[in-house]
Amino acid sequence: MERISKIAKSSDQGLERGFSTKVRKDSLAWKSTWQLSLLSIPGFVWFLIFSYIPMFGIIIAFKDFNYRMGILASKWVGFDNFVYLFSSNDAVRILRNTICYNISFIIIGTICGVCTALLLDSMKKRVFIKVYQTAIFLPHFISWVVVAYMTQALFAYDGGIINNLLKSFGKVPVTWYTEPRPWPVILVIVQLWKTIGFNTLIYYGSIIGIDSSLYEAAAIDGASKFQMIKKITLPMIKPTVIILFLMSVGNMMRADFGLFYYITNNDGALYTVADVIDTYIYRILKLSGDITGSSAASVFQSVVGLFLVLMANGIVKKYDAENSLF
Amino acid sequence: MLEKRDFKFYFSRTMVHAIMFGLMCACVLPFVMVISTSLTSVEGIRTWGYTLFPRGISAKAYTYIFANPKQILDSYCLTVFVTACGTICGMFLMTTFAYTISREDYKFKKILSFYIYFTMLFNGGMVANYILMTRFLGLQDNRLSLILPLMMNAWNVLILRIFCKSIPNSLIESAKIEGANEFKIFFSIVIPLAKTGIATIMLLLVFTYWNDWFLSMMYMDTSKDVTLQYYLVKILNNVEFIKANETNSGGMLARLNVPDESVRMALCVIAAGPMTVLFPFFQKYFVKGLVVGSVKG
Repeated sequence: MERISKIAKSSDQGLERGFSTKVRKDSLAWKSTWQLSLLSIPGFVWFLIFSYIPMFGIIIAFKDFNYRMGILASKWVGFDNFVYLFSSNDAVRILRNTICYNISFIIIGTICGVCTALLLDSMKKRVFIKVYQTAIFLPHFISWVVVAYMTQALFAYDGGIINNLLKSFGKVPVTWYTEPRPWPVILVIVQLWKTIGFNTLIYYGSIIGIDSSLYEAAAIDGASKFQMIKKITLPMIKPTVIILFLMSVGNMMRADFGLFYYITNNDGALYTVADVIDTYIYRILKLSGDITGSSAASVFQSVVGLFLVLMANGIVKKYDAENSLF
Repeated sequence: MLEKRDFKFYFSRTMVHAIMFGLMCACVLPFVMVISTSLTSVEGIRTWGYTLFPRGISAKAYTYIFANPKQILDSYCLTVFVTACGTICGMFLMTTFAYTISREDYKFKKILSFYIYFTMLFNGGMVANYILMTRFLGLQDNRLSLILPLMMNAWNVLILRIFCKSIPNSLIESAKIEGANEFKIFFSIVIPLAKTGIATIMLLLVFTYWNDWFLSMMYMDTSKDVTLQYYLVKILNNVEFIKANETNSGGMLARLNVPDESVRMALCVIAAGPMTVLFPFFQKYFVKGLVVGSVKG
C-alpha cells in the first residue's frame, strides 16, 4: 500500500512538473497572442468601419434607395439601376473615356518612365542624377488643384501663355476650355508631367539593383550599349514592369478625379472627352442627389476592378508564375 | 580600359543631358511661372498676361493677402490641425497593426494580412463611403470627416510591415525572457528600431493630408471650414472670392485696384509652398520608402 502510494506520489510530482512547464509555455504563448491582438485592434476596427462596412454598401445599387426608409427597408429592384445607367448615352461616354485614358496612361507612362530611368542610369556623375531626379519629382508633391492653377495660366484665353505665343506668331488665339478636340492630348501630357518622377523612381530603383557583373561580362564579350540595354537591363526589370502593369489593370476602371475635374475646370463643353466614371459619379451624387445612378456606377467600378485584377493576375501566373501578385 | 572618347561618345552624352535638362525645365518652369505671376503688378498682367518672368514687379498681392488674412489663415489652421491629428493617429493605428502582422509567431498573422490586402483589391466605392460618412456616422460638415478616412492605408501598412520585419527576432525573444510583455516590447524596442520606416510613412501621410481636397469637397458643404487645397479650388472660380471679400471691404472691391490673378497665384504659393520646399529635404526618405514598397511588392 505504502509503496504504491509512494510511486503514485512521485509520479504525480513528475507529472506536475512536466505538466506545469507545458502549461506555462502555453499560457505565455496565449498571453503573447492576446496582447498582440489587443495591439492590432485599433487598426482592425478602422478597416472594419472605413473599408469593410462600405463594401456592404454595394446593395444600395440594387435597391430603389429612399433616404427616409434607409438602406434595408428600401425596395429591392435587382438590376434595374444598372439597366438605367447603361441605357443612357453617358455610360458609353464615361466608359470609353475612362478605359482609353487609362490605357494611354499605362503605356505612355511606362515607356517614358523606363526611358528616363535608363537615361538617369547612363549618367556617371551622381550630382546630375540627384538634381534631375529632384526636379522631375517636384510635380508629384503638389495637388491637382495647384496644377490646375498652372494649366489655367497656360490655357487662359486672355493672357494665357499659349495664346500669347500664338498671338506673337500672328495666329488666332484658341478658346481652349470650349474646344474638346485637343484635350485628350493635353490631359495625357499633364498626367505624364505629374507622374514621371514617380515612375522613373520605381524603374530606376530596379535598374540600379541589377548586378553590375552582368554588364562587365557583356562588355568583355563586346556588347554595345544598346545591346546591353536590350539583353540585360530590360529583361531584369521585367518583374517590376509586370507588377506595376497588373496593378494598373486592376485600376482600369478608376480615374484620377483631380486630373479630369480640375484641369478641365469641370467645363461642360469638354465632357465628351473628359468625363470619366469618377467625375460622373460625383456629379450625379452631389449635384443631382441621385443615389441610384451613382451607386450603380460606383458598384460597377469596384466589381469590375476586382474582376480585372483577378483576371490579370491569372494571366501573368500562366506566363511567369513568380511575378504574380498572389 | 579607357573608353574611346570620340565624337559619338560626346554626342550621346550631350543628347542625354539635353533631354534630361529639357525634362527638368518642363517640370520646374511652371512653378517659376506661378511665383512670378504672384509678383507681377495688375497692369503687368493686363498687358502681358501670364509670363515666365514678372514684368512689372509688385508685391501688392502679398500685402493684400496679409492685410485680409482671415480666410487663408482659417484654412491654414484647419489644414495644420487636420494634418497633425490625422498623422499622429494614423501612424499609431498603422504601426501597431503592421507590427502585429510582422511577427512570425503571431497566430492571426495570415488572416489579418489578407484582411488588409483585400482592401486594396476591392472597396465599396464613392457612394457607399459617402453614405457611411453622412448617414451612419453623421459627419457631414464635421471636421472629423477630414481626418478619419485617410488615417490608414493598406499600402502604407504593408510597407511598415517590411520595416518591422527587419527587427531581429532574437531581440524580441530575449526581451520576452526578461519578462517584458508585448506592449513593452512594442514601445521600447520596435518603435526605436523601425524609426526610418515610421518617418517615411509619416511623411507620406503628411503629404496626403496636406494635399487633400477630396474630403473637403465631399463633406464640408455648408461649413465655411475647408482645407487649403479646397480653398484654392473655391478661389479658382473667382466669383466666390470677390463675393466673400466684398462684404469684408464694404463693396469697394470693384473700385479698388485689386490684384486679381496675382492674388490667386500668391495664395497658391502660400498653400503649396510648404510641401514643395519641404520635399527636397526629405527626398531621401521618400525614395527609400517607395523603392522598398515597389521592389518588395
